[in-house]
Amino acid sequence: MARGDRSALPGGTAMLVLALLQEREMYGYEIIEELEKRSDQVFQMKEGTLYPVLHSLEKEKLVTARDQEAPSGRKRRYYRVTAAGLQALEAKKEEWQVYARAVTAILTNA
Amino acid sequence: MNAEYWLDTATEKIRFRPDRKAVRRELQDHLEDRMEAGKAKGLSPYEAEEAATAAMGDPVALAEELARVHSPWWGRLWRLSQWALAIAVLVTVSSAVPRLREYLQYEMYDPPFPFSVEEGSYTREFYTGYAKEITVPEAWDIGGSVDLGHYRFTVSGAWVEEWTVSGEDPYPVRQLVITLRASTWRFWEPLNGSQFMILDHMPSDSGGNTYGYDVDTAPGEDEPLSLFCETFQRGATTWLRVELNQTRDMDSWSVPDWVDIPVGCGGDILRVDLSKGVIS
Repeated sequence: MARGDRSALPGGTAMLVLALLQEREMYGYEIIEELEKRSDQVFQMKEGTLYPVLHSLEKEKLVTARDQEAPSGRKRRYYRVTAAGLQALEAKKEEWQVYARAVTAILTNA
Repeated sequence: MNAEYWLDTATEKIRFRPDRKAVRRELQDHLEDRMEAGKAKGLSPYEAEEAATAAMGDPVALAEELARVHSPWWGRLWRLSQWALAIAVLVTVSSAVPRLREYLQYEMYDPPFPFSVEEGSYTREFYTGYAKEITVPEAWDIGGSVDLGHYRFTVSGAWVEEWTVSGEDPYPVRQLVITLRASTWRFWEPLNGSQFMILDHMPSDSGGNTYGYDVDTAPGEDEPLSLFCETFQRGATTWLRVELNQTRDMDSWSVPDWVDIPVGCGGDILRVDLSKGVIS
């Protein structure tokens, strides 16, 4: 698990980032926008905290980054998930399912 | 919060500078995207900047996070290399100080002889405090320059000096004085006096005279006339004063057209042409 990961969620931000990157490569600002859009504003993280997560994923070789000029002309750093990243994502999904089942089990029995 | 300030604060703990710059740029892109989005929603530039930095979060906490991710090892190496550079500079500078002092010492002294004088007269003062009044019946401007090795030779002045040696039996003295100047761009290798001085080779002139050290002050017809040299160095420039004694025929003396002066250990010869006013 990423060291920058401090979220209460198992897998946390790193899992969500990997899940988003699974579809296409993105730069930081895009990731934040997508997170907000898809979670209906439930996940509102401080945007800066995304970067330590991205950088530690890169260090662990779960994502790769490349600089490219965006259509707007600005140079941007695009992140793409690696094969190892996909494996890690599967593992985190698994963790999450276990966690969610446990929570559901307790809530439905209460 | 001001965007620049936010960026500086958030990245200040990343010790490896190339990393710091790259991260700063990435965060800056993000902030700018956010600010543009804010402006598109009708915020003023100021409001957009405030909103964008607020959305990014606390830069101090982020700085800690980023410093943790960006390995301190590169940072330490980077620091180390900077220290090494600083020490190298210090060592270089401190070893240059004695040389510099040497140079400055030279700067403190006045030259012991004039480099050029006008026709008429001048007073030459010696370090001992003794001063001598000298008549200058003739002086020349000598142009041109000669390059030997990395030294450039020019003539600072050429003139005739006359005075009387006082004492029980006073006698007149006449000498031709030529002041050569050698300069180099290789400031650490100024021509030193012993290289400049004429040692094995004798100067000669168009009148068939030769000049040498330690000769009779009243030489005979075929004997060399007496010669005296002095040098002075300041920085990368060295001056050589050559005194060519002309005491053989005080009455029927005439100025030679040219004088050949050997310089340097190799005995390269500089011809100072008084009639044409040029060195070659």
